[in-house]
Amino acid sequence: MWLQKGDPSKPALVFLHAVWGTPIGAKMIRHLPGDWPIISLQAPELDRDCPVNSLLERAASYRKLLVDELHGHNQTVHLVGYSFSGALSFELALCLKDSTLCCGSLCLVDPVPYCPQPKSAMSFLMHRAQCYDLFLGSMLRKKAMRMEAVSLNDIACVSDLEHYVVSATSRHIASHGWLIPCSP
Amino acid sequence: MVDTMLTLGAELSTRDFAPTRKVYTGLCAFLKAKPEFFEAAGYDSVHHLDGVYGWSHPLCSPGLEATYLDWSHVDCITHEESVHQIAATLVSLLQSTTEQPVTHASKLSGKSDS
Repeated sequence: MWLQKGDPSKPALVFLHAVWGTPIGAKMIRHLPGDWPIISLQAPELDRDCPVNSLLERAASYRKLLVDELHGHNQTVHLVGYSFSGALSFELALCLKDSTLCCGSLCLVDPVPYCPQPKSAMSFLMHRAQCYDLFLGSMLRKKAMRMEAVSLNDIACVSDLEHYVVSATSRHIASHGWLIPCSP
Repeated sequence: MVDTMLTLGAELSTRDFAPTRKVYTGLCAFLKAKPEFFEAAGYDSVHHLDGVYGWSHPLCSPGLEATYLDWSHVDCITHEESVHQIAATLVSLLQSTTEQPVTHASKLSGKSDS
C-alpha cells in the first residue's frame, strides 16, 4: 500500500511487514519528507492465497510487485526491514539486482539475528499461543497470557485457544472501543 | 493473522547461511533494540562480537555500527521517540545516497561493484 505518493521522480522508501504481516511505517510518515514516495508492503496471505514456500521465493514475489507498482517511477528503492523483514529485506536487496529496480540502501531495524533459528521443543499449541501473545502484546499492549494458560493446562486445544483469544479481544474492544491503538 | 505469523516464522528456517553466498555491499543502517526478545527466543547471535547480531558478514561491513534504540523489540517500532530516531536515521541514510552511487549485491570474493 502507498503510505505517501510523493514525487515519482524520487526514489521510493519501502517498508516491509514484520512477522504478523501487517504494514509498518505509518507512524513514521510525519517525520519524513513529504515528497518521498513511501510504500509499505503487507503479507499477501492476510487476504488471499500466497503460493510461497521460502524467504527467497517471497523476496522474488515482492520484487515483481514492486517492479509493477513502480513502473514509470524512479527505479531506485530504499528498503526498511524490521524483525522478520530484516532477513526478508536483505534477500530482496540481493535479488533486486536481477530486475529493473536498484537498491539504494538497506535499513535494518532490530532484525532477526543472522544465524539459524533455535530449535524449539514447543508444541504446536504453545507455538500458536506464543504468536497470539506477541501479536496481542504489540497491538493491544496486553500482558502475555496465552502461553501461561497453555502451560497451566487451562487451554488444552486449538479451539480453546481461539475461544480464549476471541473473548479477550472482544472484552478489549468493549472497554476501549478499538482494536489497534493509535499509540502505546 | 496468527496463521500468517506461523507461515512467515517457518520461512525463516529456509534462510541460506552458506559462507559463499552473495553479500550486500551497498549502504546500510542497523538499529538495535533491547536484546531481551531475541535472548528469550534463544538466538545464538544476539551477543555476536560484531555487535550487529552476526550481520556484519552478509552486509559486508566489518565496521558496521549499530544505533541503539532504548526500547524493547516490540515497542521500538511504535514508541514515538524510537520512531523519531528511526526516521532520523532514514533521512540521514537517504541523504547520503545522493552523495554516493547506488550499489548492488556481489559475491564475497568479488566485492567489486560497491
